[in-house]
Amino acid sequence: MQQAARCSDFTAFMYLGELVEFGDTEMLFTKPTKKQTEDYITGRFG
Amino acid sequence: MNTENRTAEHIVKSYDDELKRLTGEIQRMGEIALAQLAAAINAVMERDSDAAMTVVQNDRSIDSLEQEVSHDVVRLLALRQPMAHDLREILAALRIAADIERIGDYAANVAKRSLVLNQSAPVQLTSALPRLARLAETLVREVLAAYQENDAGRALAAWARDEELDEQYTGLFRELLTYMMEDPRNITPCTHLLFMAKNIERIGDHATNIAENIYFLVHGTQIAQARRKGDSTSAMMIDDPR
Repeated sequence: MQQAARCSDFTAFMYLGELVEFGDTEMLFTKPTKKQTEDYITGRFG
Repeated sequence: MNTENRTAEHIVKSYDDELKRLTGEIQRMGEIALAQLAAAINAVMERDSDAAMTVVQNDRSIDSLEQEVSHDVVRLLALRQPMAHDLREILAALRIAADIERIGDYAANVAKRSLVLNQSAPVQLTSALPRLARLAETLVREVLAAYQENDAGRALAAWARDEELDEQYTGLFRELLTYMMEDPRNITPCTHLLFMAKNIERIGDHATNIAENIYFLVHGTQIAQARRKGDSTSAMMIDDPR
């Protein structure tokens, strides 16, 4: 996950084969729009 | 697995404990700063130099709490690599701690000046100074409650009220200038009172900073509108009656 944040321009978060969220890497890691993304990147599940 | 609720716990439970500890430290700092301000104003009104000395000495406890906050923030950033809301929470704690530390400094400053004030004859101290302090205290109390409840709306309401404080300060500024013109012997004590009032007015500014940080913590964006300012003393002249 840290690697994706460091070297990509865009990031997608997928869960069990479904696309949950896609967007600018900065946005996805600082202010994701989906709760599931936020919970994953902040270490609340997964 | 609970992905519905943002307040869901982290997989690593100690991370939650550390975040809770951080917000607890901020609350404790805020409580001490409020008590310091109340004690400082009391010392001014009662002309109690011993109480004022106590306030000056107690400022250290706020300073050491701020150092604890800084230490905890560095550890959290290094070990937990916080993201999104967690990251804002940690940054907000660092910035709010700095604001509260300044509020504590201003309270101590008011107490320090009261020591000097006690060496001259009592000025006809109006109720304006404690009224100003009470309003500042209310604003700080409100933003601390907003912080505890993660309530951006409440923070925004307190943020907007700083204008009232600015207006009261402007009124006090005028009043003190009038006393000084009436009798030059008033100049020394009134100058100290003016600085005290300015310190209290600055406390309000730090409360608005805290409110802005809470808004950012909750929404991830800055407050859009510009705050109205009620302090016009920087451009104020008073006609010399002579």
